[in-house]
Amino acid sequence: MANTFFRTFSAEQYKLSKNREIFGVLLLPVLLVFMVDGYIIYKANTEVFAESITNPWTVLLGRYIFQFYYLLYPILVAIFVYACCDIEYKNNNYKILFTIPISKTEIFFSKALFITFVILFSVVLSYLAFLLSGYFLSLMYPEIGFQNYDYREVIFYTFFKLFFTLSAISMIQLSISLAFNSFIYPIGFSMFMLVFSIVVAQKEFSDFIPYTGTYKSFENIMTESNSFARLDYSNIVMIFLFLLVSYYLFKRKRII
Amino acid sequence: MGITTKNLCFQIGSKTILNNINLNVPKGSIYGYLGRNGAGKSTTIKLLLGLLEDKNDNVFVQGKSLKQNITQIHAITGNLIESPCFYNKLTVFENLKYLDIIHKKGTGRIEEVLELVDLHEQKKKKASKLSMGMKQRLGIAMAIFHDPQVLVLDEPLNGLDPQGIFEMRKLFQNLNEQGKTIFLSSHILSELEKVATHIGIIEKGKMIFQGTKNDLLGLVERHVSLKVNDAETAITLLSTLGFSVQNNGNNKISVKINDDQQFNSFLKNLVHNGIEIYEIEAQNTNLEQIFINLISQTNG
Repeated sequence: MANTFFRTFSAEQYKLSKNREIFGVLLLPVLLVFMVDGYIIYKANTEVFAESITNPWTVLLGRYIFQFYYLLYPILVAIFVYACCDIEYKNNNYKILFTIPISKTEIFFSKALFITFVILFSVVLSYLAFLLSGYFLSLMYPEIGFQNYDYREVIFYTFFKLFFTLSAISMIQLSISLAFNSFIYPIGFSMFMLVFSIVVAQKEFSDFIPYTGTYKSFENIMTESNSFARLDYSNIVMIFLFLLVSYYLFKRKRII
Repeated sequence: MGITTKNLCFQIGSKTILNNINLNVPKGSIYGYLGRNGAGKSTTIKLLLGLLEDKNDNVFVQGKSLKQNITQIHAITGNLIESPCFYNKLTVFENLKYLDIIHKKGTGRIEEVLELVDLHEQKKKKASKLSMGMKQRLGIAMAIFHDPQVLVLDEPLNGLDPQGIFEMRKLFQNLNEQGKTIFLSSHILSELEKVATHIGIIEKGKMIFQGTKNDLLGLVERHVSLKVNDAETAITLLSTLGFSVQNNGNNKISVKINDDQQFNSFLKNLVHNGIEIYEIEAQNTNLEQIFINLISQTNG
């Protein structure tokens, strides 16, 4: 079982890693960090920073990057997850998938694991880019004051919680992508939920909507929160709930 | 037996797609599966591969129940259903490499299969960039990659040029000589006639014929067409002798014969009675005609 699962995972990895969308999910958030770095460098060269500037990790790096992240990341995840399913819809490739000598269960979980791994790598790369940016900016422009604040714990928790948020979103998107063979539904749903989650972000029930997680990670970095909240526990539950929903949809897939 | 089904039925809603299909595909045979569009061929094939669920456990491959041994049966079965399946974003080689990761056959097998289907020169090409015929070859390559004992092929010759059809025919015959069972559905009946050892015909979800190709050809009447010097005299003579004769005009007649002895007998009689024969042509009834006749008979 473990051997066939590893083989299936390797095969999924081989096949899906040829998708350009994967590199989008992995690299675009990292690229964004560097773009914000460029902006801060430009600003540092053209403006004089006030000596009283509060924590630059928050007001400079965190604010700009997470403003982009809460709008960008859910869409990237939706596109990536759809790409992972679309590869099977094209040429009706589910016929290949369902006639290889491997159970549907192993195929599904290897696909879900691959999606989770890619999101993990993407978040880890973004986290490292964020940390390194602050470190290099502290060396290049000590007057900004990055070196004056030890913000590592908050950054770690923010990215850690972002990972759970994105994993929950990915599982919801996986369910939709498995249910509908069309780009419109998963991407449309993701866009709608993104706007909806921003509108209702301050409501109490928004903790049960994983899409609010990216918006709240922006709040998280601004308010310097380093603890788990109800939203984060809800996201963990959502990961498993929608993993099961996706598994059910995958198992009952038929070739007509 | 290679593949057997016992009273295989399938319904979508209240519509019966397959009605008590009893397939008997002998091991090591090339079984041609014929039927009109919508007759139930593709549904049968999907049931044989487990792509549609047979709730009653009526499908057996190499003697094993498909429902209870689906993974094992998939390990010994290759397929190409309707249109070839492959990953567009992968090259020809990468598509086979993907299968190699699953089946663990080695890079040597990839090269071997590429040679077999004559795709070696295209191996670095993206699958989406291949021509239709090449895509079909890739589909066949993917079907035979893991050296399956049973091949289920639905319209495998679609999109191939005459050279490609010839090569694929040779490939199927070679695979068959290696002891593989090939279940083949095709609309190109002339090709099926050349390769099939057994034939099954389905119409409106029911099997209307199943047997060897010779059994099927034996179902129909043989006719011989002759050009003679005096058609009227020949017809009178042969009719007297009990032959069924038809005047085709222009001194041509058509005689129904049942066996080789009858053929010999009517020729001798014509010659002894002074009828001059200028032309003899056996009117071979081909698979296409037999197929059309059987379908017509079934539909009244």
